[in-house]
Amino acid sequence: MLTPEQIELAREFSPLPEPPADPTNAVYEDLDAALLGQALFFDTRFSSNGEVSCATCHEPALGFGDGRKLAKGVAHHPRHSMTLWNVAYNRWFFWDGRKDSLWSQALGPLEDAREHGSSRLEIVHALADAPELVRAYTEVFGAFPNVSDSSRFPAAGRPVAEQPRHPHQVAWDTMSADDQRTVNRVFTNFGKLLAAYQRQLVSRRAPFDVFVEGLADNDPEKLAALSPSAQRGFTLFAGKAACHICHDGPTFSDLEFHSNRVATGEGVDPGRALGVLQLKVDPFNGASEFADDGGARATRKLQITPRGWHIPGEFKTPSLRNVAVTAPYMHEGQIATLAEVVHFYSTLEGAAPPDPKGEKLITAVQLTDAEQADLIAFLESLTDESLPAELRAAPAPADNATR
Amino acid sequence: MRHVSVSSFLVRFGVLLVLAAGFACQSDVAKQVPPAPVEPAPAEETVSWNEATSDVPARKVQWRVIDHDEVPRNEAFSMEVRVLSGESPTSLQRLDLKGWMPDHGHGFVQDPSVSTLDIGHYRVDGVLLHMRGTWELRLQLFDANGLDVVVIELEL
Repeated sequence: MLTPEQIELAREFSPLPEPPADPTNAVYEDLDAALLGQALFFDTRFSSNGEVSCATCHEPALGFGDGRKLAKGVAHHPRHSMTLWNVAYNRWFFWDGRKDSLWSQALGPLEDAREHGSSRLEIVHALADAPELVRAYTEVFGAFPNVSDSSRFPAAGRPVAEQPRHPHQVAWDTMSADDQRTVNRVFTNFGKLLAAYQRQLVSRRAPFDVFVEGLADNDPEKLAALSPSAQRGFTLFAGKAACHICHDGPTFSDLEFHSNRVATGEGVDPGRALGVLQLKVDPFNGASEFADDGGARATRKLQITPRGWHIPGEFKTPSLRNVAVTAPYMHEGQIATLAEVVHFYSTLEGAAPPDPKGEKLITAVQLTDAEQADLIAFLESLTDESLPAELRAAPAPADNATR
Repeated sequence: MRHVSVSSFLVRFGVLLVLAAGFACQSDVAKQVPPAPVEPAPAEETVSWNEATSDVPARKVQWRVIDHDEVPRNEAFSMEVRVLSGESPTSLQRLDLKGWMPDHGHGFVQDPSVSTLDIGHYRVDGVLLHMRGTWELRLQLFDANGLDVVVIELEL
């Protein structure tokens, strides 16, 4: 059904290779680290109310999202929870790219007052109070520091930007630089454990991938993995609808930032325009002392990332793998269903006006109802949730840190 | 990727057009960054050069990708640029590289850095063509006579 040119194009989207290496995280491939990270991911002890874990907003049964329009941890959040499927393939993290590694991304929610609502000192103490976790940590990183002296290591504390009187900042300021570094080291290792687990959340054996394999070996069973409707949908995806301009390559994302003209709520979320500024001054960015590769590569990456290029309201292009199981959509969860997303791009009904300083990427692609159905069929063919069941929940005690 | 024209560069992209003009680049304003640690350039004969003709009389501009077999899409790469007057290298005050996608209305998402290897010989690191479509690589050549912009047009 596909033309030779379309077949060649399809091969640009599959297979998805292994996730890229992360030299800033020395334990990114360490299975013990991943197992401990998995335990931490589902553990609610690291939140201020003892009820929130990473899985609260990234629930495996909900496509490692939360199914909500806007996220809710210990409080409400103004952005939609991104799925964690294939998160390790990202170049930048969060909707606004304010982080440049998966481990550094994992630290943000822990201290966000709306998510875990905790602080790095509380995180470190919670770890220290769990002997089974300390044992597992020690196996990965070596000795766990003694943080029992409360005069040196307050119960709670962290840097709080532009709030010098915040209790967390006041407590943090009482600490010596060496003790702050000790806490930061454990805290960043916490993120590296979480990253080692999240790296395993890979989806790359969807019906579309099977179909592309079938194109190579002319296997009729594999070719049957993609329905005629989905095949037509692919030709629209990479043709008339031009979705592939942004959702490109095997990740189905260009990994960069755009305004898609979906109307937003009150106020202006600056998106990448602010995210890139935050990234450059982040004490845990890839150029920091906590990057295990010495920072050389990331320093370079940060140097050449421009500050002023982005207009307000640009957000990261999400991957489309597993898109059918990660509703709702967009950075504020503005669109409830995949059908509505396709309808939006087809008509631009309700779209925000284009920014005259912005890109000229978004135009109404004017798909017929049948074409919209075909495109949805193709998007649904990108679903692969065949992750082993043992990665979808906290590890069994015999297998994890409590062993 | 479409083949638009044939070039001396034996890869699958097409060099459409090389123009030279004294106009200002429309892409974002780049900052000067410290030069990257310069890795050894490949052996002279291993990768052929693409030719680009400037409007400046007798000036010839050559370029080649040095760390990939072809210009990659959405993967940072490095390139070399040589500027000749006749057959001899010619010195510039400065060389910059800007990017622009005329159909999309945007440029690079990162600013490549330029380091000098020799007289009229430059290395450009961190070139990222993050989207498919038509790209204009705009080499800005500054010398005592002003700005000369050489545009290398690529179809990715």
